Amino acid sequence: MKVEHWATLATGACALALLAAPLALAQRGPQTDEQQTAQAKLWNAIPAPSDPRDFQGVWWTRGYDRTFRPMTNPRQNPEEAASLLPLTPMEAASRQHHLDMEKAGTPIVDASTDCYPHGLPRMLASPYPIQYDYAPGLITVLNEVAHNIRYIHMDKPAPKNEPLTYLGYSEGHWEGNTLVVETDHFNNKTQLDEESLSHGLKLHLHEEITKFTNRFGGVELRDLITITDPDHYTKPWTAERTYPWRSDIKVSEYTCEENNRNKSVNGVTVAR
Amino acid sequence: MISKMKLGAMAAIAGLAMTAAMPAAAQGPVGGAPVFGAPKAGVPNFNGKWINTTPQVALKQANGAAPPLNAAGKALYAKHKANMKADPINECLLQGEPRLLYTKYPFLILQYDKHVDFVHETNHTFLITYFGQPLDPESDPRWLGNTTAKWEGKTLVLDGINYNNETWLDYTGLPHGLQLKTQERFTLSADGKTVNGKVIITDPEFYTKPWTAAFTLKKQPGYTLRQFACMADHHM
Repeated sequence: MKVEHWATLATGACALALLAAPLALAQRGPQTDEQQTAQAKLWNAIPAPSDPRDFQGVWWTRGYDRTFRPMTNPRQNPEEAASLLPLTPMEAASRQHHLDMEKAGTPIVDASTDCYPHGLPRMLASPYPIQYDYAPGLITVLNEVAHNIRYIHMDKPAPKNEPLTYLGYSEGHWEGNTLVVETDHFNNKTQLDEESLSHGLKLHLHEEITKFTNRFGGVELRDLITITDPDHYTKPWTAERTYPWRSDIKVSEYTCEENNRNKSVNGVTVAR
Repeated sequence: MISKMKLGAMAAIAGLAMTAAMPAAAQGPVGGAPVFGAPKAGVPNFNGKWINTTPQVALKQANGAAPPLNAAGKALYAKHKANMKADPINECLLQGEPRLLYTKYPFLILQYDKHVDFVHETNHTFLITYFGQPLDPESDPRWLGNTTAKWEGKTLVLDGINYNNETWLDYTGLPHGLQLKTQERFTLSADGKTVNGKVIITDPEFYTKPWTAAFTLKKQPGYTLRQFACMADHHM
């Protein structure tokens, strides 16, 4: 069996939660500065586009953090980071219910468990490669995970009567070299993150996506994601994700619907 | 607007070094977005939104004749027709090629020097194909096969092998097996608004000979691509 890259191993299975640990280990990667520099050189064998507004190509986040937390500097440990979440009482109770159900071995299903689109920002945490493509008036982000496609409309606001969807309606524009994306028109069928956080119909995302070169010579996209949903969070809060440039990777086929061992039964899932 | 607080937070992150300022050579905003890597002079430009104006429920040969099924093909076709519920798209599985080209839904063609991407509205399916990448007969069978792209004069040609045998070629259950090979050929009209296409289908397990089906694509510049969640009443 030929495997083009790591993510292909997961093709056909939607067991992201089950895969999280080995993926994190596999992608933890080199630790020393010399190793990081060598890795950056490998990933940048075909250089990323030099223009700071050109994101075209393949990017892949490191490891898998299945939670979104408020960004801090320096980074907090998981418990402290979770304590910074500005949860409304309703969301606090909902989050605890999610944690309890998972602890009981019957995690609550979310949309992606049944192969629906993952929703946002949940999809932004996915440990699978993504590819940016540009067309006049439109930026598309092709996600390997469950063949999700995100359209960022650069030339038109949401049409009147735009339906509420899993990924919402994304409208982008440039501020300098930062791609600013505003997204709303979400349905309320997705979770905010895989672990425990929810959102409602008032969810609004403000993203600032910028390309930068890290100190090891690697090129990355940084997405600063500001989450606003007054029913679930007492104030807007900002999380962060980064995506290294990966010229050594191609986005592969992924068919969630084939032999989905996690398909829900009565609202919960037990991997089969 | 980007807040100063967030810019400060970005700059505070260790090791941050912004890339160089935008070079003047960039092609500038087009519809609010810069467009990079447009096809070189003389290379046909397929970039844009397209729709098949002659979608086919029952795939025919370009001359209107029925596909040249052999005895095994006729038997499997009859079996499919007797159980239309078994159509894999009923389970939201990928349609496969060339069926994706014959749906009524629009799609994007995104063309670059190194690859060409077909981004379909239907079941949010995309196919990324690299120019000059050798076909890999050892690759695992897949829903969208193992594909490579090339230019034959001004015609864009996609060759595909190693499809799994789960997909149907059309909505009536036209069969294929693991030996299926496809060659999709896209020729752009002089005004750039029409593609005259054909696909050559080779599968000796189920057909007496290679055969050719035709399709016509029309550009849809004003169309806004929609989200299509197959498992939720489609457009959701």
